Amino acid sequence: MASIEVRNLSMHFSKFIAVDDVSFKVEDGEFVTLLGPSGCGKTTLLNLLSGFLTPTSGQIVLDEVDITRVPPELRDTAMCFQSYALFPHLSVQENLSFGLRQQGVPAAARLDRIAKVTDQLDLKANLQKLPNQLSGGQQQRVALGRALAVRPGVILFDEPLSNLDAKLRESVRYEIRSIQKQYGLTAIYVTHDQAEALAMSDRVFVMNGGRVEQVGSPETIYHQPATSFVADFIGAANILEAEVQSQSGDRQWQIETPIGCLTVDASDPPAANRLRVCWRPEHGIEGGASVNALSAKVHHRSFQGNFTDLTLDLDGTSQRLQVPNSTVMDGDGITFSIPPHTLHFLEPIQ
Amino acid sequence: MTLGRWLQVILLLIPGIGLVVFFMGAVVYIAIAQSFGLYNLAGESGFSFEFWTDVTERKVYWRSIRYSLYIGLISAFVSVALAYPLALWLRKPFPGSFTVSAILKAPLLVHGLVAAFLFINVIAYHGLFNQLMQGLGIWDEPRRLQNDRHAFGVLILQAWKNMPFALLLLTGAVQAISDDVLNAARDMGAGAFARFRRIIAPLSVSAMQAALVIIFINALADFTFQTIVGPTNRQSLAQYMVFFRDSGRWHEAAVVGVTLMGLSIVGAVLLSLLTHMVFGKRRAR
Repeated sequence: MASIEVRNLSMHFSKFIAVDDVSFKVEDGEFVTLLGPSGCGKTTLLNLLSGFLTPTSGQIVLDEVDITRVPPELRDTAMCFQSYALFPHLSVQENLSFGLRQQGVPAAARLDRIAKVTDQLDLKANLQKLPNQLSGGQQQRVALGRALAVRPGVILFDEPLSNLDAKLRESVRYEIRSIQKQYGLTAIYVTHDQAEALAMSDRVFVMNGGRVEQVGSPETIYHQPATSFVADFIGAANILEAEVQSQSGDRQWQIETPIGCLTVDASDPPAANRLRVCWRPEHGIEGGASVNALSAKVHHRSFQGNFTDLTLDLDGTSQRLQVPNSTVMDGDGITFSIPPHTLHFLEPIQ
Repeated sequence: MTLGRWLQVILLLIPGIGLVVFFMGAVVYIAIAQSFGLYNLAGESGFSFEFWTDVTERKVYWRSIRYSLYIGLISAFVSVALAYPLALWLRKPFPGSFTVSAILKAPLLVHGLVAAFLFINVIAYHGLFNQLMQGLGIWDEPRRLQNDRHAFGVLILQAWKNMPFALLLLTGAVQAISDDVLNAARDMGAGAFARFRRIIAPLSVSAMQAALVIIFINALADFTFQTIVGPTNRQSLAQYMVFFRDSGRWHEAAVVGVTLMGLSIVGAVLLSLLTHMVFGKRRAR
């Protein structure tokens, strides 16, 4: 186990800036997720951490040792690849022992470690098989086992579940997290799947355009997004432009928005007079309420099982509302309210 | 499949593969038969071991075998050894890689005889290389480089001519290895040599075998390079065969020819086995 720190890291490909002055520290035993859309720089950042790329500027420090220019084969990191990257000509056992042989681990210790990993990952029955004789989930386990066997200081995951079906993804996600906790591994996990990030991480780093847009616990990221990008990327969000009209008490503000005048109950004051606000569709309440009560027309209704997703038209502004057991249909009128404490101030409007 | 279906398949194959097999078989049969005294083109025919006995008792025959094996094996190994790093270098496209690749493959388009004469211009007593070395003040006087006794000239020409062919085969094979697999090996602590030994070579072993075998067979039967730049006190098997044929001794020439075919087969099998043993699949070490 180890801590890893990134200081002002940048990576330029000709004129394209893939990673732009990124700094953060991942503590010993922490599970951190780099979350962002395709092309935001998260995989480039992971490749910089693993050593497959050399940064244009900045530093990578592993346990207080600068490893910025250290080649991957000499770094105390191990990567789980999106494609699994198993050695196709080697059996599962040979794949698992590959890193240990490189480390010069004696045969007895090697067998012991492989036995532990295969027990943990339920791979005993497949040890003599070649990778192409395994299912996707089994290949994923072998890739994880290969990385675990070398006992790296930091384990890096590059969208390891993206090739699995939804059901398997959920179970492997749980497995990865429990193994990480059990081994006390420092893990950095790259994904564009926000559900994966929220479910697995101690902290989430939301990336956009090569920069880290917000860092925080999954709860913070979801409930207190710093920007409209984070609010929109994590879950569903209704984002409105707003102007602060007045303040009442310590934490209540009246704001003017395209859907009407709303009251916001927030612990942090707004960053500017004109700014964006957001609310989550599931926080709206169908029916009347005295504060933030609104009337709208149902533009589209979509039944989702445990809730109904409604797209509403509020005088030309579209908003989403997710409510349980709604009986309204397309074209019906609806009244709903937004609890003031669920409205959240975002960045100022430039 | 039913018998009728098999028959249909065989009949369909006969016009293509059948002709190839027939003509190849006819050549092999004639060569073997001639080596035992049959099909004499200039005199009486009759089955006999006499020609095998006569040729195999000659020292020059065994020296030719040793020399041809030396040329065949060294040429094959050197060509493949030179082609591998180039194939790995050209694995991923980069600015100018297409041009570099085309230039490296240019020897495939140059006839061996032309290449040999061009080489003579370079290594002749008054050739370019001698002039260069004297011009640089490294040598005081020209040195004899042509027809050297270790056949370095032949080996250089063989490697020059055959390396592009090995490169052609190996480039395709190494390009098929994914970046992630190579990165995974690095990530697991494998340096450049370990990556080659444990990942690249086993995953491209088929192309390596094909290159080694084809170059070996080609160089084993070399006549052109040997005649022009080879040592004067050695004869390759092809040269020895031509020596017999020129004096109308077809049966002895056939003995050498059959030896050449036998060595090609045995050499090809041994090279394939060797590469498989060293780099074969499912080997972790």
